[in-house]
Amino acid sequence: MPILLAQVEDSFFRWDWVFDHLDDIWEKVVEHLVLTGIALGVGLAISLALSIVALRWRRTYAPITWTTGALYTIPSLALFAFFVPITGFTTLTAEIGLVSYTLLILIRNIVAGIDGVDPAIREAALGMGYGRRRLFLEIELPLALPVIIAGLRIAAVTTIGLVTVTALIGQGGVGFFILRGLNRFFSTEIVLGTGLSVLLAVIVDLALLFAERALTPWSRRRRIA
Amino acid sequence: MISLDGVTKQFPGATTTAVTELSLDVAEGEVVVLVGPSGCGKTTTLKMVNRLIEPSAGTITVAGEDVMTVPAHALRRTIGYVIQQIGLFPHRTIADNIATVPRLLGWDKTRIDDRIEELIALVDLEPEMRNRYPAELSGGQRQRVGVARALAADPPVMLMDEPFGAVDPIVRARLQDELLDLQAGLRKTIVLVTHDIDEAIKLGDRVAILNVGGVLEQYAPPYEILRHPANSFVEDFLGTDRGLKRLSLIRIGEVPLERGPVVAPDATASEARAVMARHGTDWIGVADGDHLLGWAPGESIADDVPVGAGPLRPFTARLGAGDSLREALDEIITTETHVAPVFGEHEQFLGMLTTAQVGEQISG
Repeated sequence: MPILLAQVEDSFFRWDWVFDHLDDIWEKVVEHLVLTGIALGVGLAISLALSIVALRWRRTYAPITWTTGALYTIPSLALFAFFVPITGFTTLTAEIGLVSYTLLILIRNIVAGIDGVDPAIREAALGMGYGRRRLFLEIELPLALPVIIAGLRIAAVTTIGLVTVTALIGQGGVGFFILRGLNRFFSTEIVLGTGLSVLLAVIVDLALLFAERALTPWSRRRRIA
Repeated sequence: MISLDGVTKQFPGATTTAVTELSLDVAEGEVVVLVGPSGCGKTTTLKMVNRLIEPSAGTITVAGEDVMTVPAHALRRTIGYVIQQIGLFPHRTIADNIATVPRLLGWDKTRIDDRIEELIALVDLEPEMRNRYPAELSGGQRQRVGVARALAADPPVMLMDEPFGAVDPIVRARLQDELLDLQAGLRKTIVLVTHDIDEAIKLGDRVAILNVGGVLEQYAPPYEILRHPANSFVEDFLGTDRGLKRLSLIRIGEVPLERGPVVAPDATASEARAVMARHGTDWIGVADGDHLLGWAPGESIADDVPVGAGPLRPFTARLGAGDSLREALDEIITTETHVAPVFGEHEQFLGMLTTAQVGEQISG
């Protein structure tokens, strides 16, 4: 049945290929999540540090956003390519780029979140004898959490999309399938890689949304008149 | 307990001083109210006591210790602080909010728990409020939590910055009364800031009237200020109803009462008319000993029956010795009989107040 066989090979999406490669797919999904997780974790840590600096010394806020904004404008392809001669086709090269792209969004949201804390709350805390550090950790940061997580969600969705680009430097998570599909003119892999990337973005976004709900029980309880 | 000596505050970039050479002593257990128009530095003065603002010159001592020699956070943990916006922590339950200072001081858990329970009862909140969040409470309840939180570590000194400014007048009056009740038991040293002279008169053992630039115009007990304003600024600030304000400071119990135009129920019409004539009224009150039965208009008194047998109208007001003359005056001018009957704790009739008696208190 040569005709039928040709139809299978030409079909836009071949489920049988997917089922034959479940192990590969799972491996790439995990890689994708690890790359994203490291990027967000390291990005959040650097952003928190830079935000503390920006909040403590206001004059540094403009240069910090200017620098991270400039990083954000560099085309991802160019950024990954730039570091290959220095750090090679490694996870490190991928993460340098991925982390860079999270900074602007995260710093802006952290600073905006902390600035948004009601000054009366800060005054009451200081007036009762809070020190700067405890004020930040116990009062300002928890109250800024909804805004910070909103930033984290944008950063997560952006990063999950960008991870596919790192396929070009031998990383890429599910981006690996997109790149190989393009090279082999095999649409199943392109669709699979794209679909999985979108699905991961949606799942991670929802997970962060639920995390926010779980972490801020006070923000949804209102007085029953 | 608190002493300000030549305190001046000039904010950076300002051409004038916010507080100028201010000296003020607050005795232990006393409520001092700082009052004045906006720009008079009353809040700045308050915040210099717990060092949220640091003075440019002069010294402030609390319990004999110069506040500048104590670390700011340690100082503030020994001073209760209540602000108008309350500043409850929205992410913490009522219990956790109240526990703020005890936790900063490192109290153990059972001691904190016991204290929370005690304070919730003290400020008249329901025990089940413990686990609510501030957003679930009414404005008045939040203000009570704010006071409970300030009292948590039992500080000897309390600073209150317009504590009742954000609630409606009815709740404000109730919270003021509650504060006075609390204070009667706790005897804290309280410095309270307000722009409302009536609040100052009601709450203050002494009132400090400040002018723009933090200039102290007068510092005296409320009745003294009302009776002898130090200058025209104070006079203007007190307003034109100074006499009425003084009435709000005098309790009915401090004034001698008259029995008024009152006869026994078995009095005859002619006896009643004689009493009315003596008092110059057109009505007659009827009382059986210390039980005030009511009153009847003069023209309705029948000649052939005792006064107590005819129809009587009730006295509606129930004023007691603890109410103020201002309330009595309100009663006098809004009722048909133009008197304010006063009753004791067990509803026994003590006597009456008339405009003439109230007037004597203002002029005297």
